[in-house]
Amino acid sequence: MATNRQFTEDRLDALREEAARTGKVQDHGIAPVGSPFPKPASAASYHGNPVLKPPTWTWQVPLYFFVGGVAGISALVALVAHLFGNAGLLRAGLWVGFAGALISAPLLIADLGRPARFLNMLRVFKLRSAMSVGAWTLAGFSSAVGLALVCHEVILAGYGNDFLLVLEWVAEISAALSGLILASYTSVLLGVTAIPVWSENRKLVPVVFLAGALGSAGAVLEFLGFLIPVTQFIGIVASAVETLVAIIIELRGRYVDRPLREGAIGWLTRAGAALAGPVTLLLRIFSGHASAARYLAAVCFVIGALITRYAWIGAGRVSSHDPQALFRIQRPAP
Amino acid sequence: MPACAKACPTRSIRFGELEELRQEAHARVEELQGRGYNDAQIYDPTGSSVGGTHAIFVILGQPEAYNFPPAPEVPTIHLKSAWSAALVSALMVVLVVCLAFVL
Repeated sequence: MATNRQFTEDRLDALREEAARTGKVQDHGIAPVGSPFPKPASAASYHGNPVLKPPTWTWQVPLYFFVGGVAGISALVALVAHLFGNAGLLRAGLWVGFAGALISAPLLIADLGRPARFLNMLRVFKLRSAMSVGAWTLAGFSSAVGLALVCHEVILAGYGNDFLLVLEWVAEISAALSGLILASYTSVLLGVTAIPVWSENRKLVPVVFLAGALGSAGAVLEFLGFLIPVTQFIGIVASAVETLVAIIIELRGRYVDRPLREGAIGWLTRAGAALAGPVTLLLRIFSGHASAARYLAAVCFVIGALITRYAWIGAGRVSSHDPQALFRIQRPAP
Repeated sequence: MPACAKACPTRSIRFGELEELRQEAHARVEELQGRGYNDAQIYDPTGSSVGGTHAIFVILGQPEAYNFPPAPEVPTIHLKSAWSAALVSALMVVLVVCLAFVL
């Protein structure tokens, strides 16, 4: 004990000397008997408390991201099918788009807690708010795809005329354009928040979401029996992009991407990426056109894309709890 | 005047015109640095896109230790880059869908 006390006094003297000489003390002090006392964390933060509030999005939101994406891209596929004269795919694409729009609206409204709030969202249109753009896009897309479908079915039933034909084209083009916005605005919605992992991936999330939407739309059309080269090509490209994105996230190894690589959400991200990426890709490439393998690939991709949506939202929640993720963006670590 | 500023026994919390408070803060930081607290500084992020926080803090050490973002930005300054990425991706999707029918 005596030596300990002697050491403590000597150390204090040295510190006092340093303080007198330089006006401040750089070194650590002593660890007196009775320690440890609370010490500051190695990286500065307020006791590791989060700086940001976590996103409070409910389970409906990622599902809406997914369904909205499928619906939007299906409308695009329908338009291109029309241009290339594939009547079957046109009709199926319009139906999928319409069904997606019908599912999307309740999901988006349900996550607001009180349904009437959706009307408040349509009270203003604000370009600076991705959410406002999205609410209007969903409204516009639903109307356009519904109109296109009605025109198409009326013409199929034999009541067609020139006006309806033109109207169908206009509605299809509107549906395809608003569908593209519907499938992509959700990624902008994440990118322009303060959540570090979303904000720092604002250029990658659109790729992830659109590739997921593209592949899932193709997969849904495959479920409906369109085991044609068109859907196969779409599926291969989409899963190749998903694979590439997963490789980028893993190899880049950024601190801010840690929620995508570590912990439960990290493994969820990897599971989603593996299913939608390499698993689907290999199934499609090596099994050729065997229908069982294509159905399996479609199922894998849809599940993978769905998991990926939930994983990205979950990663945002994890990221918001980590003060260092935010600080490092604003003051890059040396 | 808010109750917290009124009741503060050490006058640590102050309320008033922002410009006057800024001058007071500068004076206080100079005083502290003169007394050897070299890491005394003002936290007042007016230079960034957030344009200030309507509150000024005189702190010792890094802002991070108080959970202040060292260089806060309004997230919507990234709208352009995020929408650009979305636009490029969307164009690629259109291209892929067209190619799927051509090939």
